[in-house]
Amino acid sequence: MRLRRHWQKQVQQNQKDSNNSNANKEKTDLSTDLKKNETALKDIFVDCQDIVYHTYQFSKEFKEQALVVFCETIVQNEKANLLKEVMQDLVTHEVGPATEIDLFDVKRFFIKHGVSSRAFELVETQEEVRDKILEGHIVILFHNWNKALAFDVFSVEKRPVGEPQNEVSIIGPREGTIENLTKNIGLIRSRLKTEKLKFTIKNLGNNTKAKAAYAYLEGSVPEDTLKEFKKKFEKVNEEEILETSYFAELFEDSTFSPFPQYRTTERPDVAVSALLEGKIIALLDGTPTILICPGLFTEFFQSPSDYYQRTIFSSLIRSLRIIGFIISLTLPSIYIALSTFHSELIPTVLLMAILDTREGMPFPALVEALIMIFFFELLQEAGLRLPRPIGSAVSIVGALVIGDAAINAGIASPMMVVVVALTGIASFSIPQYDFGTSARILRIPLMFAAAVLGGFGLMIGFLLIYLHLAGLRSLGQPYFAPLGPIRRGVLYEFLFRSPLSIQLRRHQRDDLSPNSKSK
Amino acid sequence: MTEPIIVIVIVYLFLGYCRLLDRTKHQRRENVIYIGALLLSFYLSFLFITGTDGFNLNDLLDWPFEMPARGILKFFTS
Amino acid sequence: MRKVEAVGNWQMIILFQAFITGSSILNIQGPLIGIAQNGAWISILIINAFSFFILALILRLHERYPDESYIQYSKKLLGKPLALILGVPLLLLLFHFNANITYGMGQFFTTSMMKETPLYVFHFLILMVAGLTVRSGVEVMARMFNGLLFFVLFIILLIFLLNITHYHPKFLFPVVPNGWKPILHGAYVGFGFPYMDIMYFAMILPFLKREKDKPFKRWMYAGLLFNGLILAFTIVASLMILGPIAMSEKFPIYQAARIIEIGEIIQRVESVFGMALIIGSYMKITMMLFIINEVMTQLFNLSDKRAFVFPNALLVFLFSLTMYENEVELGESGSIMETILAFFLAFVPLVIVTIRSLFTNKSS
Repeated sequence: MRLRRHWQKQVQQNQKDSNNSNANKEKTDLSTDLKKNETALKDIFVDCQDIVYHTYQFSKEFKEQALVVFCETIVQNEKANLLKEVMQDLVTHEVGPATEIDLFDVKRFFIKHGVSSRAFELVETQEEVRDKILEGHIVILFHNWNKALAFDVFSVEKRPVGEPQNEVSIIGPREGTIENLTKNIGLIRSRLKTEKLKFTIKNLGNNTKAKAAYAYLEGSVPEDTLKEFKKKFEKVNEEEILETSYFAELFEDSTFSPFPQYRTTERPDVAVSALLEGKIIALLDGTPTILICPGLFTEFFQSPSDYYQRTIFSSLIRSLRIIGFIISLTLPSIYIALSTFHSELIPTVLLMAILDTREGMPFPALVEALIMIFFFELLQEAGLRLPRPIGSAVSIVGALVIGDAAINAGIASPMMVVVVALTGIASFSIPQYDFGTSARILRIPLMFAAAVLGGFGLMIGFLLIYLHLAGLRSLGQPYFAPLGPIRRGVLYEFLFRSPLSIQLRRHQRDDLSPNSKSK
Repeated sequence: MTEPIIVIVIVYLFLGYCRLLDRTKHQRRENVIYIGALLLSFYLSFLFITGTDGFNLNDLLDWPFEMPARGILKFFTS
Repeated sequence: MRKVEAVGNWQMIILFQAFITGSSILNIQGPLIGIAQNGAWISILIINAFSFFILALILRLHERYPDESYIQYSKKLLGKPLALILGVPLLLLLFHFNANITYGMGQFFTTSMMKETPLYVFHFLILMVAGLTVRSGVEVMARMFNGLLFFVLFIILLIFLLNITHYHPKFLFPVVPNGWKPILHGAYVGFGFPYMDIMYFAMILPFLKREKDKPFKRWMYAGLLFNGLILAFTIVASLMILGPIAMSEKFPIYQAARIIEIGEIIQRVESVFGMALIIGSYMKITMMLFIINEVMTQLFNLSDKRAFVFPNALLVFLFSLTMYENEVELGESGSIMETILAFFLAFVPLVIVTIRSLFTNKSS
């Protein structure tokens, strides 16, 4: 609570500072003297050695001067001499040969917004020139004119649109979002060709000046959620946002909860179906991750391919995922509780097997489980950073160490290895990575609770987790929605993926929408 | 004897921590009632630690009602 | 971010069910069968019928004063001093009752499933979770109890279903071996627990955000009927499974769970009953703690409700550990004292308030 207030005070302080500095920022106009402009620009960009300055002369007897400034690392190289194109525009439309063009013609043409082969803007202040250069424009300044021309030639090497690696589906589109905001918005716009799809774009941060956008489908999104989201989005101005998950953390109602309150995706079809359900999506230039807000508990078990496959099969697979989550969360603790406190619950034959293997085990079940889970988590974390040639070697080592050698050395019993392996695998069955990590976090306190008090401790642990989930809200909507306040239609949807004929009509019926009333 | 003391200490620490977290202004009457509840719980903690059977809530409620209750019980089981 | 707390119709009904059925379904068989033997289910049905009257009183008062709890309108109707005189014993009764429930649950664990753990561990943990739940507010409680109630009912049903080979209907007869006195005695005890609790629920009713077109009172009565029928059913089932032993068992369903044997795999599953008991008691204790909190803050006009939750929980904790020397005293308190305490400290004031409300026009 105290930390949160401190953070809010920081944000207010930053906003006050920025307001002050905005008020003090002068807008220095360009002067008509080219030399002055040039020195001013060179002052601003001192030590930025990738800014290029070219001076040209044109018109009768090469009287007029023009300065072309750009940042060569972010423009398309072949088109660097835009000045020639500008002159060629004028030649074909207005005047005679290029040597006949003088400044008056140039001015008149551009002030009257003549049709040129490239889109241009007229800029008037030094700050605007600076911003344009940094955004990848070529700026042309003329002697005796206090305005400059800016042409957009931004080009940096980007990934082509490909399949996102973390969200593979067997059937369905293989397009994934890339790092360019405009292209991403294009991928979504081309799938939702309605004017009800609203986009709001804003620049954030003093140094990054990243373009952030959010979108929603008017009429589907509930009013309170949208208001709540807008309120939070307005507050973000000065923060340097590098990834959309920063938004998630800044907007979250409960930062210290193990459960994520937003979904992320890299697939435009998932984003589109979320928009149709009445969610708000947030995008950021420079990252392909799309944030879907709000994220409710039951949605984390859905994967995009659910809707592209047959009903019965996807219902069963969804149940499998739910069971997988429960296993990933509770299996070690159930095993500890059963083997230590409530051995009578285990069928006798299995119990004999377990007792046999636990003969001569040096550690109690809890310590053994902790060691095994620690190994497994280490392996997972190390596996993230493996260069490919070593990758296969480490997986062999992992299997050998964790599996065989531990058993032979007597550190772990075979049953425990099976339990831990099953737990680990189950945690990967959840489509959203963030959500799977919540199970990994909560596993350990549950193990301790089970080791201390057996079934009773486990129940208390469950009640506490359940209490936390029931009270969590995501953008004002209850997190545990169809299971918390039970809404029968949507609860059914959680377990069984209803046939599309019912689904597709659902969007028009109010009472089954999970977002209609938040109680 | 020692275990109950440890439990009581933990419980009171927990209570004090929660009191600190509630940062609203406290009315005077609220403080009075709070202290009253606290005093009662001190008495009960003392009973708990020493394990004796002192005058307690059930005794308080027994005082007017025990005789009629036993009378009714006799009536039913006669 | 904190809006005014309110729950919808269906959630209020669920809360009521969790309150009435949640804990009593596990605790009621032992005492009642011990007192009324084979006729215990008749006792339950008798007292259930009577409790409709209590529910009617509560709902009628709620109609008249939809936004006020029992303490608030009794202050209005009777004046502050009289309301205080009637309210403080009610508060004491609530503490007493809550401590009884907690001790009942703890006693189960220390005598059957986890004998080495000292009593205060159970009481502390359950009261701590209950306290945290009450602090989160009534909305969160309503959301949680939905799932938990279904869980408890499911487990009970499962236990009875898996015992299908052990039913002996002949154990049910003779229905009235010793005359009607034991049955009436059972009804008398049933009044104290669980049916007087309906009146305590009047403290929670003002949180209802009434949805005009959906029926509410009808469902409350239906819920009460459902409760009566289900309790009677569990008693009948326990009698059919256990027969004469049931009369000396404290927890017949626990015994029923012990004798389940399906193949070689499902046997000795009595711990499942333990889980259901924890959850049922947790729901009851949480709601009682909530009611205690409401009564205390409204009687003394305190503004900060959340601050008093943990002191109240602490008091219940200490009461539950110090009031009784052994379980015999708890049993006595439950079966002998509870009814007459509930009658004088809760029922009579309720009737007084109702009669007074009949003679007062509702001032706006």
